[in-house]
Amino acid sequence: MITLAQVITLSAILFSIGVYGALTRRNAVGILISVEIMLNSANLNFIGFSYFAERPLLTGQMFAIFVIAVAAAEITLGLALVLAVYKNIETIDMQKMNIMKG
Amino acid sequence: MIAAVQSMVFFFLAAIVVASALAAVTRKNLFHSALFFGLFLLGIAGIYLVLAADFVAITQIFVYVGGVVVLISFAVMLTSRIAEASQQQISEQREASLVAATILLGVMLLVLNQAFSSAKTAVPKEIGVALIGKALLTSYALPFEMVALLLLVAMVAAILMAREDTP
Repeated sequence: MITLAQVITLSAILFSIGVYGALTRRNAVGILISVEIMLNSANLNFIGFSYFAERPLLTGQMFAIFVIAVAAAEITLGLALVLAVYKNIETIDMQKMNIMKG
Repeated sequence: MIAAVQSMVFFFLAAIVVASALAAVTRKNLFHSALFFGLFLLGIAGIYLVLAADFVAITQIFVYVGGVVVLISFAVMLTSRIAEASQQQISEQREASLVAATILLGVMLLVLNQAFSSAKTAVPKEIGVALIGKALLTSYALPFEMVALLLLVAMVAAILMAREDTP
């Protein structure tokens, strides 16, 4: 039998993996992938709570649908930004994007 | 019997999901990372099916696997030369990030397991597409319209940002 604690533990593990990836990757697209992993772990949390509620609860699944839509819009804009930056400096290595560094 | 099968399927999918997430954040080749991310999303959709969220699982496959992974693959292909695809990917702060992520995981597991440790057995429930559709147009009409506006704005902005600079 699945318990709520197991779903939450899985979601916490995935979130930490996403945090590690976002802090470590040198590549702009790699950072975007790590942010998407974090968003998916939060979605899993919502769906888990919606399943283990006392009565049939729709709120978790509605929230998850909206999170999926907003995350898709966000990664579209993030990748458009990456392409625009690549046109100027020919690389997507984050260490080299330091024009505004004091 | 059904509970045991459900548990087995959940643990199998959880193992796939954790392994492919770890591979997605540590592979040097960016295209391999994108493909492992696609496998991660498919595993998450399977877990949604186990947790009786059919519509969200299919939405996840359509939007994330069918849209976001394809977008990421385009971006990887357009922005990396062949020789550069496997260059040094891990930054200098790897140990500090590992410590920070482990501490975060420990704190989260401690707090959440204390709060939710009472074993709640789930009442099997079916939330069909009809219920979700009705709710989208009645209770959740405002977020629905706002997300539609957001998607329109994102589409226009992405086209504007990524086009050629014509004078």
